Parts: sequence; structure tokens; C-alpha cells
Amino acid sequence: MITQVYFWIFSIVALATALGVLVSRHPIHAALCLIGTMVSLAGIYSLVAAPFLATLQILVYAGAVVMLLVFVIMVLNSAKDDHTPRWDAFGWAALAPSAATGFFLLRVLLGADAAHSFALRSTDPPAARGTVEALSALLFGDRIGAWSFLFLVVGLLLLSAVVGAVLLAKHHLDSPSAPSTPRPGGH
Amino acid sequence: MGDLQPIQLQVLAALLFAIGLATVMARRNLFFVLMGVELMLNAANLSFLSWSRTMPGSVGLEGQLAPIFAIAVAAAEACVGLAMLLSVFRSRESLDTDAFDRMKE
Amino acid sequence: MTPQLWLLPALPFFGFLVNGALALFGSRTENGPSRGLSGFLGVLFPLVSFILVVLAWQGLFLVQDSVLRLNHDLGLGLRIPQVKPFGQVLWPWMQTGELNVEFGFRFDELAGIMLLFVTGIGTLIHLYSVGYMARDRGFARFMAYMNLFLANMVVLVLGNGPLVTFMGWEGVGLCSYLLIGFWHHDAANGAAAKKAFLVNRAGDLGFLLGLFLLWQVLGTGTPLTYEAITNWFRDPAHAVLLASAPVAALVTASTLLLLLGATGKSAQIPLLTWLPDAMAGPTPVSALIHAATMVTSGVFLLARLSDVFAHAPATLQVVAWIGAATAAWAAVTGFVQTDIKKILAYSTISQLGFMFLAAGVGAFDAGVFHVFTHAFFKGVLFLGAGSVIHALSGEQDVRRMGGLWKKLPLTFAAMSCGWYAIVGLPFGAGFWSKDLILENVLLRGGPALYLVALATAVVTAVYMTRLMILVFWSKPRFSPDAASHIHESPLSMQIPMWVLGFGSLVAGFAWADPFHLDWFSRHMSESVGPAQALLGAGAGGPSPILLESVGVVASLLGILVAFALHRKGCFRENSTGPLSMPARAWTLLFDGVQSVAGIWPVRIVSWILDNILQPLLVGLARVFGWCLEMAGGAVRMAQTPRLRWNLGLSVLGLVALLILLARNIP
Repeated sequence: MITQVYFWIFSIVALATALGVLVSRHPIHAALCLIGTMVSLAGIYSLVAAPFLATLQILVYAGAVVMLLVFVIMVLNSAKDDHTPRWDAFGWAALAPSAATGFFLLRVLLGADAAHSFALRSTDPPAARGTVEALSALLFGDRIGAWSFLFLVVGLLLLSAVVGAVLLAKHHLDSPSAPSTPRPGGH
Repeated sequence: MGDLQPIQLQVLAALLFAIGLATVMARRNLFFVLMGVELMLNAANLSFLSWSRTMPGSVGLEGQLAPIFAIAVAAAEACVGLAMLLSVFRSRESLDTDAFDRMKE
Repeated sequence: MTPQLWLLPALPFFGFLVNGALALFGSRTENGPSRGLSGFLGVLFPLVSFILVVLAWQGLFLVQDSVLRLNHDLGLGLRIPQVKPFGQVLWPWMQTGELNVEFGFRFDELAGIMLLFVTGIGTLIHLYSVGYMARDRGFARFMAYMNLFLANMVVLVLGNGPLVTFMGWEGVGLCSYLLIGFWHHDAANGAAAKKAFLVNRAGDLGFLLGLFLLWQVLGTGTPLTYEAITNWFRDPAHAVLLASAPVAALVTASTLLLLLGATGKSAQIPLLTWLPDAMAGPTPVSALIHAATMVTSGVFLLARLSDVFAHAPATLQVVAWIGAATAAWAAVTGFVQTDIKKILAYSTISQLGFMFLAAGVGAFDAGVFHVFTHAFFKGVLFLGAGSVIHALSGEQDVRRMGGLWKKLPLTFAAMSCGWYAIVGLPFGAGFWSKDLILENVLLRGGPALYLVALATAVVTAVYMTRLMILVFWSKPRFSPDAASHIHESPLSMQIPMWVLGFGSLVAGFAWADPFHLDWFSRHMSESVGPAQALLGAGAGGPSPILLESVGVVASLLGILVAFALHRKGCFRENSTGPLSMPARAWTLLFDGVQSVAGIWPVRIVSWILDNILQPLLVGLARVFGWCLEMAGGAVRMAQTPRLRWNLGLSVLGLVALLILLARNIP
């Protein structure tokens, strides 16, 4: 019972903040709304016996990714960008396909045999499932399997992403002219 | 119905996905595009979790590993995306997606 | 020994190729290709062909293994053994299940007679052309075309079935076009050539349609050869079938259409307007094609298919009346003409009318006999006219000639022989053949047709005598500078004229009943006899001597009338302008009919197509193109460089996919 109440609270907050992202005027406001969404989702994760994931969500997603986003917004002092309108005709037109996507997804989900396929089957007690021990056993268990390999690959991915990002950004910081103005003739 | 049904999570994920899609398409500022993408990724993670609740045993647990990796990839993607945003801003002096029309027709 | 009939058309055809090559390769030089070589070859091949024809007659005799009965009694009881038909199949031409046609030749009585004078007179006229066209730049081309014409004419005559004949039929039409428009730098000649070709074409349509209907009558079991056709029609077992109404109607329709084809080639009503215009070609062309050979193809067709026509009496009535009407109309028209060649052209049409009249009353052999004699006297008249034109440096108006009997004695002598024959004075070639026709018309056709024919004979005498008076006997009226150049023709032109002039006088004796010379009639009996027997010989009428006397009286009457008119000055010799109004209206009568019946409908249809259908189709094409453009423009919008649009389209694709997935969910 209490789970349901928490779920409804978290889901309404998540939806509201997501809409906030959609309609915000300033990117900073949108970033804050995004954090709100992510934290709500973390709450939902904890409700479904995925505590580790919930923690990861807050630490990494809300705490690192969105922070990075905020830093970049603040670096670009013209981020408010008066020239770009907040909403235009294409915006209204874009609502239609999005609504259609949502509608058809819901239609599929709420269709006839949905109840059958979505039945809750897990027999383990919920609280015992998504713990660090369980997940680590799965990831790094006695067999050298797909997951551990994947783990290593993800590490490489993160490394290359960081290197690439530094290269992309540094390229411009090295130029003798002022970093915020492009050289005439482009570069 | 005390327990959380997977269908509820799925519906929430679908709605979040739709809102994220709308954000990507409707907003002209590049930051909002990136934020919309993050929203969509979150919705996908939620969907994974709801599926994991329908599966017994360790299969269900694997449903929780996918979001871990998704978060890692999302982080990498955000990093590179922001770096590109910076460099694009440097060359265009604008964050308007409509200004970037140098793609081949 | 197998008869090599293919040589007969192949030799002139080879001459065409050689002369054509000479013409092509010699066209770069200043004076053109060598006249001597071209002329020699151009005469050689037809000559060899003629020799082969003669040998074919004789060779058969050897094959036949009969005793040669040469009776050296000059003129009396001369008996030449009958030619037995033989054929040569060259290759299977069309072999479908129902229609089996082989390409081959058949040398039988009718073909033999026709070939004798086609190749013989053909060779003579080729020789004449060597002299006549000697100064012409396109000499080799002329000889090439003439050879090609002769080859096609041989195929026409020698063909073993209607389709082979049709090949030659078309070929002579083509060569007629090429030769009439020979001096093509003058557009009027080209127009005359086109007219000839198109009017012929209208006739060809009739030929083909008639042939198709005939094939319907015969059924699919009969091969389309003349032998098979005549055997089928002569078979008494088919008599009942032929008497039944539907088959008889089919036969009548078929023969009427075939008649249309014959009128096209032989310049009878309604397709006669091309022949006077065809005089635009050089005179040897007029002599060969439009006097002796091509125009007789129509009569040849009627004789060939005599058995078919014998079973369609209604058509034969039509044939007779067409022949009579054409003969009468053409005779009057010839009387008012002022161009020497036009007079002779209308004379040809008139004489062809006589031949058609003969065939129409069922006297096919008399018709073919007239073809035979007509080739001689009309040939010499045309050659003589050419000689006169040549002597007067191109003058063709008879009002500017006269008194030439002193200046051109040899030409005058030859033309007098032709004149003697055509007006029907006693014992000339025309006397025998025309009186034979008149006799048959009276006995088989009735008094009405006879009177028309007799009147036409009188008018024939009048205008031919008028021609002779104006050209030869009256006072000289030619211009002085023409006078200084008058000279007799060279030998190459003289020899054919002598031969043909002599023929005009004696050729008639091939069938002279009072002297019991009926070689021609016996010769033709095998091929046209049964048809004539079917139609019934007329009951005994007045005696032949009486009829012949009537004929001579008619000729003399015509001659006297001509002299009387000349004495009175009715021939308007000293005028120089074009024809008077009534004369012109009469002459162009049938051109007017053709214009209304044929040309105006074509003009109307083409106007409709041009102004209604054409813009419609163009508009449709434009609309179609516009639609494609719009569609392309719409599709091009997908290739947008703008980011959000691109993304939007991808999302639309996603939505479409989702719709598909959600389709099965109620």
C-alpha cells in the first residue's frame, strides 16, 4: 500500500519535472528540472528492489552528468541565447509525432494480452534482490562471462570518451585568438 | 494490489519517453536537445527495470545490469556531446539548431 | 534440265545493281559515270533476258519432243507449237499452318506472250534511252532504274501466284515513282511521281483485300498459286458451291476489289488521274511504262484470274462499263490537249479502256491481243514523239510544231505506221485487235456498249489524225532558233522506232481470222478458254467482214472529220495560251472527284489530329510531367539539411512502425 503511495508521488514529480524541462526558458532551469526527474526515478528504483541502481542514478547521473551539463551552461555565458525563440511553429508540429509515439506505446502496453505478459513473476522477496552483493556476484562471478567483458569494454569507452572530449575542446583553447570568438575564415 | 505492478512502470516510462522526444524535436536550443536525450535514456532504464520484475531468478537480476551500463554509456555520451556542443558553438556563435544547415541536401 | 526461270528477272536486276554502283561511284566526277559502259550494260541484260525468253519457248519445244512444223508459206498456216507451262519454285516463302505460299515462277501461255513483248520491247526502249538520255547527267541512274523496272515487271508476269505478282506489282509502282520523278530538281516532277505512287497505292489496297476475300472463298486447303486457283474454279465439283448466295457474294466482292487494283495500275475510272501527270518523266519512261508494260498489268491480272471473274458476272458488267466510259471520256479529253505527250497519254487510257471492255464482255483473249498490238503501236508513237521533242530541243506543244514530215522523214515514217495502226486502217495491227474487240462487244455485250465503243473509235481516229496534222502535215510554226537545230535522231533511237513501226503493221497477223491465222487465239485458249466458255460466246451475229467494214468506215470518218476541222481552222493552231476553260474542266474532272472523295477526308482527319488530338496528348504529357515534378518535390523535402526536420521525419517513420506493430491489438 505504502509502495503505491510512494510510487504515485514519485511518478507525478517525475512527470512534472520532465514537463519542466520541456517548457523552461533557461537551460539552467531545465537542468534543475532534470535533476528533479532523475532523483524521482531513483526513488522509484529503490521501490522496485534496485537500491544499488538508485544510488548509482543519483551519484553518477544526477551528480556527475547533469553537473557537467550545468558547468558547460555556465561556461557559455551566451547560453541564454536571446536569438533562439523558446517555441515556434515547428514546436507545435513536433508535439504530434511525440504524442502519437506515446499513444501507440501505451496502446501496445495496455492491449489485450498485456496483463498476461506483464504479470509479476518474481518469487524472491523484493528487498533481497538488487543489492550490491547480488549484482557483483552476477557481474564478476566465478565464470569469466559476457558481463565482465562488457564491464571492461565500458571502461574503455569511458576512457575514449574523456580523451575525445578533451581533444575536441582543447583544439579551440589552443588557438591564439580569443576562445569565444571564431577566427575569420573559420577554423 | 500492494505490490508495484510492472505495467505501471511501463506506462510511466512510455510517458517520459514521449516527453523526452518532444523536447528533442520542439526546442531549438542545443542544450535542451541533450537534455531531452537524457530523459529518453532514463525512460529506457525504467523500462528495463520493469521487465526485470517480470522475470524469475537471475534473469530478472540481469535486467538491473543493463541500466548500469546504460548509465555509463549515457555519461560518456554526455561528455562527448558537450564537447562537441562547445566546438560547434565556437564555429557558429549560436546554439540554434536551425542554424546548422550545412548538411548535404 | 531444270528450267532456270529465276534468271529472267535476275539479269535485269543485276543490271540495276551494276548501273546503280556505277551511278554512285561515278557521281563525284565532273561528267558523271561512263555513258558507254553504263549504256552497254543497261541494254545487255534485258537483251539476254529476252533471248532467254525466246529460248524458253524453243527449249520447251525440245522438251516436248514434238516435230517442228515449219510451214514456210509466208503468213498462211503458220503454226507454232503450243507452249506447255512449267514452273520453278525458288524457296518456301510463308509457311504457316493455314497459309502456305512458295516463291516461284511459272512460265505458261499468258506469261509467255507477255514476257515476249515485255522483254523485247523493253530491250528496244533501253536502246532508245541510250540515245535519248545521252546528254543527261543522271544517265547511269536512269539505266539502273529502267533495269530495276524491267526486273520487277518480269516478276509480276512470271509469278506463280498472286502474292509473287503483288511483289512485282509494288516494285513497278516504286520504279514508276523513281522514273517519273527522275528530274527531281523540279518539284513539279516530284509531285507527279508522288501522285502516281499514291493513286497506285489506293489500287493496291483493293488488290490485297480482294486477295484476302478470294482466299476465304478458296479455303485453307488450296495453295495460293494460279494453277491451284484456276483448277479450283474450273472444278465442276465446286460449281454448286459457287452458285450459292454467300459464296457468290464473296466472289463478287473479291473481284470488285481486285478490279480496283487493276484500275489503279491501268489508269481506269476511278484511279486514272495519275497517268497524264506521269508524262513529266522522260519519254522512254512514258513509252515503256505507260504504254507497253506497267499499265497493262491490270488487264494481265484480269486475264490471269479469268476463271474467278467468270464466276462473277456482276463484276464483269462493271468492268465493261468502266472500260467503255473510260475509253469514251479519255478520247474526248485527248482531243482537246495541246501537249503531244498528254495526247498520247489520254490515248493510252482510252485504249486500255478498250481492253477492259473486252475483258468485261468475256473476251479475255481479245483483250490480251489488244495489249499485244497496243504495245507496238503506242510504243512507236511515244518513241516518235520523243524523237520530235528531241529534234525541237524540248518543245512539246503541238501548236508550235508542223511541217516536220520534210525535216524528220524517218521519224515521220515510223509514226505514220503507228498512226495507221491505231486508227484502225485495214490490216494494221490495231485494225485486227480493235475490230476483234468490237465484234465481241456486239455479240456478248449488247448494242449499247457496241455503239459507245464504235463512237470512241471514231473519236480516236479524229484526235490521232489531229496529232499527225498538227505535228507533221500542217505549216511549220516552230520558233526559228528551234528550226536551226532540227536533226534526225541518232541511230540508237532510230532502230527501235523502225522495229516497232514494222511491228505495228504486221503484229496483227498473229490473229487474223479471215486469213485463218489464229495462232494467238489457240495459244491463249488453254489459259482463258474455260472462262470464256463459261460466259458463253455470243450467238452468231453479223458476219465478221461486215463488222470490219463498219470499223474501217468509222476510221475513215474520223480521219475526214479531222481534216475538215483543220481546214476550218478549229484546231486553233496559232494560239499559244493554256487550255480553254471547258477543256480544262473536262480534263480535271476526275482529279476533282478524287480530291473530294479522297483528299478532303484526309485533310479533315489530319486537321483533327493536329489541332485536337495533338494538343490533348501534349497536354496529358505535360500534366504527367507536372505530377512527377510535384511528387519529386515532395520527396525532396525529406532530404532537408535542417536538423529538426530530419529528426522529425525519422520520428514519423518510428510512428509508422509503431502503428504497424499496434495493428493487431484490438
